[in-house]
Amino acid sequence: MHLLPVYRIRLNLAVATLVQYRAALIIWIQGLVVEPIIYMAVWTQVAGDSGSVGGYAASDFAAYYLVWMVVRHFTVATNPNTIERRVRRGEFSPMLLLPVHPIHMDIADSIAYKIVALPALLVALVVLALVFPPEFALQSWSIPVFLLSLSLAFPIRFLFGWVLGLIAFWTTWARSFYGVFVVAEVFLTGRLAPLSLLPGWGLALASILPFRWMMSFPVEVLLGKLSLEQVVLGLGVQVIVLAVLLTLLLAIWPAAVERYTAAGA
Amino acid sequence: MRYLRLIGLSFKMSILNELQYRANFVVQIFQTALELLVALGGLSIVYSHTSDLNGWSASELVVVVGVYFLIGGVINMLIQPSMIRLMEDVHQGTLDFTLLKPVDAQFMVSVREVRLWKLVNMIVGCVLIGVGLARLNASVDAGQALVFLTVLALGLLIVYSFWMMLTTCAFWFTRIENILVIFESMYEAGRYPVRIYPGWLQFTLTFLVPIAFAVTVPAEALLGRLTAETLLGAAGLAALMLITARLFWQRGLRHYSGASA
Repeated sequence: MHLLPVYRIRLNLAVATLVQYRAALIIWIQGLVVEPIIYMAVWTQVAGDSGSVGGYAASDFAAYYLVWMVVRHFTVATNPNTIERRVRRGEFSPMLLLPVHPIHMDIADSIAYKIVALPALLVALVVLALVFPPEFALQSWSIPVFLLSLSLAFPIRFLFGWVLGLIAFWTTWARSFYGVFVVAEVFLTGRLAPLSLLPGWGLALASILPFRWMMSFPVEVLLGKLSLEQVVLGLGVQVIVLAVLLTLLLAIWPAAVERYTAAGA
Repeated sequence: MRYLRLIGLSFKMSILNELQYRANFVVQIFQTALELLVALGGLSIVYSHTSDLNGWSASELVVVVGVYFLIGGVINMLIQPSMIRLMEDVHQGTLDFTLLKPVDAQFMVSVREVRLWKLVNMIVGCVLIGVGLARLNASVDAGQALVFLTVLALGLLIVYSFWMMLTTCAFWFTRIENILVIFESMYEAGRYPVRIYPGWLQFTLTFLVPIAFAVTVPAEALLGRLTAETLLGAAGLAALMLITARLFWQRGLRHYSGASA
């Protein structure tokens, strides 16, 4: 329970820092909107020719990207690059002196961003919904299950980034590797297209690597593209992935800290 | 003549500076390869579900992506680095040193920095254009090539003026690094022909953030889709924007207070 005040103070601090730059709100809105608009426009064109693509009509794509934006917002996490920078520049030193695990600051920071940038997300959603009218086919269980899978997706994405970031403690080439990670994210989180539109091996890859479970899966749930069995199975996989990542973090972190001291000496 | 020599000297300095860090060349190749993967992978997924995108075939879009890489390379090599330096100079007051030189200051701030390794993106762009044209069996005659180069140059002038105007805002607002992010994310939209976007976005990408003239129009010139009106429009807009950028710069300079003020 000693963590609670740590979180409260860190959250206040992060919110105060972010609120300083109010003009950034406009840039956030713009950054949120442009990419989904590109993909929506492209897929609307593709769907327009034949009515629908792989089960998605134009209005389904609109719904897909709206939900995808919500999921992206609530799963925003620390980038592996940030961890690499901390290792390279020695920025971990002061963080390691504190009596709490540095991951808690990062969790608090990314929660703060979600709160402060929420107005930007809402504006972006309204704008997009006006330009590309969406259509939802909700099941009775869609929304609660969506919220459940979303609340699993955030820690998965967060821990995945953090565990990958730990590679930087061992090699200076980590930064190039993270470039590959960013590319994989474009294809495998359902950003470029819904995963079901990728070739079969793409979906398989996204399911084996945790990419599908940290972003695409909640979107699929809310869009009603999955049967009840697939949803239950998916939630189970999310729990397993989360447990594996947590175990990895707990196992690797002490060794990483050991390496870090060695590097500084 | 004197100005040409200055450009030569300035570029030589920057290039010598860049040559010190040769490992960056390898990093750049790797980075460009990843960008290429995203661009072509995206195209192949889209075209696995359709054979034409609003009248554009896959091979034609390879040409568009080629121009996107080529122009993006030029912007990142020549335009953006000098503009970033200018923003920093205004912010820190170090623009004094440039203003004291006995040459036109706008000229000086525009040619100060070169990122040599972005050449990789330009080469990749040219290769893609070649591949796309070959797959179309399109023959480009001398006249068409000349039109292409003209529109390309006009597009670059438009982008330069646009950047110059944005950067000049630093004289009033001091800290505007975030503007970079806006341009970069908007430039992404240039990967596809602007005609596929909804009307208001087409307008934005043509006149507010002039990416249409930088990427789509030159690609149209190569593919024989360019109309005389568009060509004239590009020339007109380039002239208009160059003049506006100049006026902006002169106004902005009056607001500059220097390092010691």
